[in-house]
Amino acid sequence: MAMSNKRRKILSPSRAPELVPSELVTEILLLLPVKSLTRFRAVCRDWAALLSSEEFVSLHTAKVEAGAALAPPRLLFLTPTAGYGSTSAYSCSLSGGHDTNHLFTLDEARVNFVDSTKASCRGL
Amino acid sequence: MAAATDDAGDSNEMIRVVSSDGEHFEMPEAAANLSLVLRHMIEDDCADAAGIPLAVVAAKPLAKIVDYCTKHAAKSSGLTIEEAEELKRFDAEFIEVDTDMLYDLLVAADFMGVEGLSKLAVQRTADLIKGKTPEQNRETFGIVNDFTPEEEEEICKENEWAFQITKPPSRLC
Repeated sequence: MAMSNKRRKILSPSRAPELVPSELVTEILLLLPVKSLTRFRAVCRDWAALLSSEEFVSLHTAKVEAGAALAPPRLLFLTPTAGYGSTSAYSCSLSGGHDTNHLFTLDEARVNFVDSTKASCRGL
Repeated sequence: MAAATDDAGDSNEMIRVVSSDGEHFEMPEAAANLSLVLRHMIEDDCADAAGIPLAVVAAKPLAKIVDYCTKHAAKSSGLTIEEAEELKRFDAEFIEVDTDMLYDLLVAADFMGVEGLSKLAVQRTADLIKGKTPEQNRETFGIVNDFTPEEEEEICKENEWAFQITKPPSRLC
């Protein structure tokens, strides 16, 4: 078994958590939402490189799209902030309820200048 | 261990495995077959009375894995809705473990090629780290921060929205 040497090292008796193999770390990270992934770019250079890599972004996009096909649709709406100088984006479910989420606020951007795109903008 | 033998596939033979710390375990062949590594060993006639040695899996996680495989092998085909629900509940309870055990299971299930358990452990780990800070993640994975303070600050500043984690992360972002 060619794999056992590498694995054996990883599974050495010292049980430090850094021994989680990197392919497993990738699998775990692929399940996370964009917000967590954006934050985790600050973990270390390796993670920053992985999380911005074309390959990871494609895999993550594919996962999200597969998941989105199952999840109930949500409504995205944009509204000016109180001072009209900025724009806030919210999402809510179509079935009502009180689960409106504030997604983000674009400073210095008025709502009539904001356009949205359905496709992923590779912002990950 | 009689529980799993009734509808556990075409063989009632018990497979023995030995943990890295020398403990012996037994499970039906159908359960062992859920592990790619064990299945290959069985196919290669390496399963004998002495047991298949798993030099890199300790007794504690191995006991859990044997439980998992036995349960899943006993209920592998022709599941009713209730049985599928029950198996889901079993999984949910099964993976409610402390982080040490979770990492053991994560690594051992991957090593042994137990796909269902591997997925379960990966999902559980993802759920646990989702709302954490970068620093907490470094601790979890034993990672050294190799950014300069300036670089780190720049990343935080560029992505300020992602660092606001006082409320639970929404499903869309």
